[in-house]
Amino acid sequence: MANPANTQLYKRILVPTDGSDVSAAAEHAAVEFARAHGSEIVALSVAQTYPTYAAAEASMAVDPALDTEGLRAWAERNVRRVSAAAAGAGVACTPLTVFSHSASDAILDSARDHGCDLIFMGSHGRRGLSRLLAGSETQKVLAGAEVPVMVLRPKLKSS
Amino acid sequence: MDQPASNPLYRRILLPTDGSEASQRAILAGVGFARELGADVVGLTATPAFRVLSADPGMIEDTADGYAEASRERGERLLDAVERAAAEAGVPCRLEQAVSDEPWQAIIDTAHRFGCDLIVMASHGRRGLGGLLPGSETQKVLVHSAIPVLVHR
Repeated sequence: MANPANTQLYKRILVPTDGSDVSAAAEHAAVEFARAHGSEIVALSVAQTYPTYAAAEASMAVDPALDTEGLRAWAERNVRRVSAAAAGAGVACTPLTVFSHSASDAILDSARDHGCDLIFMGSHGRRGLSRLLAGSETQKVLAGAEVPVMVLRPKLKSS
Repeated sequence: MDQPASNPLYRRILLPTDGSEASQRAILAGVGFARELGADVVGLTATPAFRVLSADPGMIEDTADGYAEASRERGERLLDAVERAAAEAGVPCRLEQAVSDEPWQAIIDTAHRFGCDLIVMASHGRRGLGGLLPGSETQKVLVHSAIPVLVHR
């Protein structure tokens, strides 16, 4: 029987969150895992910027600063949800928000930069559930990750 | 083996293999994790069913019986890797061969049948290029499996 305090594997877990119900399930599982396994969590929310829309937004006289602040607040709110769950379980949690054009790149970079040895994420993100393929960001993380990825499928309403 | 360990996380880990290098790495990682948790493992390999019309040279000039025998021997060789890794780590191990044209379905069915609470597998198998996208069987397991899947590249 392993002693959680002495385990070597999966000490620091990256938990990306997009604030969706799908990612809430992965967050919950990650916190449970960390509590049982004696791991810490790095909670990440990516404020995703869309470069191709920038010109269109400018031509419509949208204040990009407003958008940026909104995105930042959204990302911080997502990360707070994980921090609160971790705190409730007595799990150490480092909150992290980054701006990036690519969620998967930000996830891979953050895992590397913060020395995470496991990534927890849903099989799909907030763009919905396909029964054929994993979500595109999840696929990119699986293809590029240097560490293992724990993938959780969201609960299906029909099952 | 019938009384899984009492760790609060995972008690029985399914280790599917197709003999690829990537699945070999996943087996070793899965057995290492099982040892750490005090869990046991189930090794699985899935063999396609025999068909008269096939592009698989192993099937074309063969009879159903001959093919089944060759498949079973091949499956045993693949599962030997799981058995050896588990034995070296002192992890209780059970082995299972499934005949199925849908390896992902065999993986999910076997996980349920053996009461596994985690699947550890490679992001791509023998047919995958590895790198650009996860393999199609892995993806199907991810979107259909109700239990978590720990994916190793």
